[in-house]
Amino acid sequence: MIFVTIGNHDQEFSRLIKKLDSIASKIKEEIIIQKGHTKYISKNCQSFAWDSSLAKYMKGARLIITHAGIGTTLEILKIHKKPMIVVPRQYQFNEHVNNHQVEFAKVLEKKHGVKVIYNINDLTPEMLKKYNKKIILNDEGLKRIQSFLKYLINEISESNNK
Amino acid sequence: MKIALAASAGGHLTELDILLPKEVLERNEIIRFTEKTERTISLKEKTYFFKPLGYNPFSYILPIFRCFKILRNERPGLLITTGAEIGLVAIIASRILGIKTVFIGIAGNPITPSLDGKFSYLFSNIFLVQYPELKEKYGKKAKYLGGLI
Repeated sequence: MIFVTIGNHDQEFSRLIKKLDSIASKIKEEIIIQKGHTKYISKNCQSFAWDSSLAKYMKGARLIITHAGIGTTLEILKIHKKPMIVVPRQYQFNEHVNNHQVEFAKVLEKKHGVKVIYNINDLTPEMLKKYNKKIILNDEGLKRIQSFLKYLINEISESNNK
Repeated sequence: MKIALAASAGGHLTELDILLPKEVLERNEIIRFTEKTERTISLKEKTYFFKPLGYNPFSYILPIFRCFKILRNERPGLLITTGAEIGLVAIIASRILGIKTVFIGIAGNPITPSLDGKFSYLFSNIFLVQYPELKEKYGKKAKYLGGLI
């Protein structure tokens, strides 16, 4: 199963959902879409607006296609560790309030070799059939922030106790 | 110690939960400020819900007063936020009340300083960024220790 998630941002992202509908008729694998506020109704894929947790869909997926939202991409990379294709929402298509998703996608692409699609026509049935690259993130940065927070909280509670 | 956590309900909240060590959640009394969504209603800790505030500066005024009231009552020793909307409200109210504040810029915004980040910079005791390039774009107080990405 290919799981597609575009978050809960209140602008539409029909550019991706329409493209996937046309791809779905050309591949055998099932595509399930979490489409949030996008109104387009898929004819060839199963879709729903939102669910309290997307973990069950992510766990069951072979491949995940996502917008470049930080929460979703981190969940895929750090928790589910699944192959992932990122399609950033773009300001020029009225998909977000600014272009931070494109900026973030470029960092993922350059630093970690994540597959990013900017031009929607680069997303093809062949790519979806074959794509299986897994990306591993290291935890060094996270650990440094966490030890700083622990140190800080200790310092503050000790000074409060004095 | 009582710790207040503030973040809007999407990626800002996800990052805050990844960044906080589990033992911090276990060993301290946690209160949260966020928006009401299907996901946040099942949060385990005591949670104060706020409406999404968007870009209209006037929509921030009443929530700041509500936040004052809650914080005076709860008296946390520290506020940690990854920003956006309610995060900004909470850091402004906390700093004015003399509560120590930590802002952590999210990894999802790597190049351009965010609007909530720029305002939070003024009200933070500690200001962390997750990309070294962002340090100088915010100012001298900004620290880089590492990042999620």
